[in-house]
Amino acid sequence: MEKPVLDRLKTLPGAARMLFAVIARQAYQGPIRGKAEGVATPPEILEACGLDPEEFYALLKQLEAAGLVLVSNSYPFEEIRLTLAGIRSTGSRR
Amino acid sequence: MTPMETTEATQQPIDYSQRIPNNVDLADDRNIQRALERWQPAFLNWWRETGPAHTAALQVYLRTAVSVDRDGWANFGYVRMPEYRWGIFLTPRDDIRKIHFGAHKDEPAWQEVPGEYRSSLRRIIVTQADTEPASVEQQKLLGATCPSLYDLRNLFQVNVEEGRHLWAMVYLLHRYFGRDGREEAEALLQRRSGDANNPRILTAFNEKTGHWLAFYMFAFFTDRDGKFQLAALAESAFDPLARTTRFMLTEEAHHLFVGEAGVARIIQRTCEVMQERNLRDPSQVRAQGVIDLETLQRFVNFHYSVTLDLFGAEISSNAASFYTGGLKGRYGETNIADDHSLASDFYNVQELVNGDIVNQPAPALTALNTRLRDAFTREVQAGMDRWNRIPERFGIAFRMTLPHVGFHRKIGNFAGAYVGPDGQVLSKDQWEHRSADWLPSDGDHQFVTSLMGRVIEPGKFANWIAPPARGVNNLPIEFEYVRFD
Repeated sequence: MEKPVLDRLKTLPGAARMLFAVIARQAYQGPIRGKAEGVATPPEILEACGLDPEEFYALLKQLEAAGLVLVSNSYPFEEIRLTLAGIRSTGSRR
Repeated sequence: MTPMETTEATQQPIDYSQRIPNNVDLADDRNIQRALERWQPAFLNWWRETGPAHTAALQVYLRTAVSVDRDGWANFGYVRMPEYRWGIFLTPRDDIRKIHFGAHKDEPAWQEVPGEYRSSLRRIIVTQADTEPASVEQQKLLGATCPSLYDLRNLFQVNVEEGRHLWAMVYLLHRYFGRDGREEAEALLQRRSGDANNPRILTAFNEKTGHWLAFYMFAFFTDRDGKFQLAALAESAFDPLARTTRFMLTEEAHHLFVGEAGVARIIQRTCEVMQERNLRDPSQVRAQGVIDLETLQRFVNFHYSVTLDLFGAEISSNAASFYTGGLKGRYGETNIADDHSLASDFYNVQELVNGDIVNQPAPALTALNTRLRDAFTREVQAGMDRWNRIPERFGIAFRMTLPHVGFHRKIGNFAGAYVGPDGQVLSKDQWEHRSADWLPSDGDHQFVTSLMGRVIEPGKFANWIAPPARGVNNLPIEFEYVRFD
């Protein structure tokens, strides 16, 4: 199971991999647990990653298509979760 | 350029121990350091006088750049805004970077200003620099009517970063343009947005930003012009300008999000009320204390058309000479597959011919402003499409649209013409009869202003805007983003 995840990550452009890292950090390592664990949202991601909305939404689609994240809720209140494959690729034991 | 200059170490960490934080080794350049340390108190005076009003004592939860890498480039904490560490941050230098367009293509990027381009480069930098303090001045009074602490904090974040962008440009003026540059840096603190005697350079930056709807529209449309101008300058053969603007783009990205999300939350709230109470008539919607979609469309028409003027005339010999000289590239120049000279290429430009709007091929070199503007429009349309998902989700038929590029223009091929939002060419009488349907009236501004009250209780939001899903930096919406004690 591990290899396909890494393969999926490798096929993505560097910017998408970087966005994935920011999503993972925001989903699991925020300073206050004021929200469900494992969820990241556009405001916090966008402020942390330095992407503008156009770049962000394009890369997010790539991460979704690669099966690394799941996007729920409607614009502009999307919630982004790492899929099981996505969690594995971060090396998290959660 | 000497071999030493092309092989020296390129990445400096940001040094926050200096009076002026920087990653350009300012301590080793005593003359420039002293000059900037003399400019610093003048900047702080300008901030106190024209920056956000009555905010000196507030503690604001702000991000501050700690690295020029996109991954992990900022940290967050409470800061009193006059104590914000405005500094000079350039992305790392690429020692083997070459010029990739224009007459100097394939030559090494310039580390100093070539004499032949000195005047043009100074003009480009001053024009960009002038927009940064201008927007802070335009937004000076908004804090008094904030819809929430979350929004107030976002406004202040934008403000301090526009101030930092001024620093970025002023460093270039001081470091590379000698006495002329220092004088220009002084003048940047003397001009004032909307001042009849000493206004800011570009018209859009002398307009009022009198309420939060105007602020969000400005951040969505006008800051996006900034993004495209900065992206074109990030291609520049003058390497310090390219490296400066690249990092500015990282900060600017969030400003665009603030604008897009702000308008989206307004649309969301309006649609919630329309659905809950089964309302469609704009006056009934207004009576519920939210902004009707028709009014939002008029603000879209205004801010889009005013921002189009910032791209300059559709046909421009200045744009051509800036490109050929290597001073300013196209958006995404590096990724465009052509000869990067444009000497024999054409680009379609709309113009008025005998009362009709026609598409005419123009030499691509002189049509560079149009090309940049068209890229801007495509991106704006994508954002509008996202906005339009909101009424669609609520089952509301209204969709916002972008007006024709000839609508309400003061600069370029359509200046002085009367063109409706659908592209229909009108007589002056027809325009005067209909324009109130298309552009925000004084009554619209009065209505929007009437909704603006100050909401500063943590977690509370004004009635006319929906809360965001989450707060800043993974914090809850109820977080005290601004402390008044």
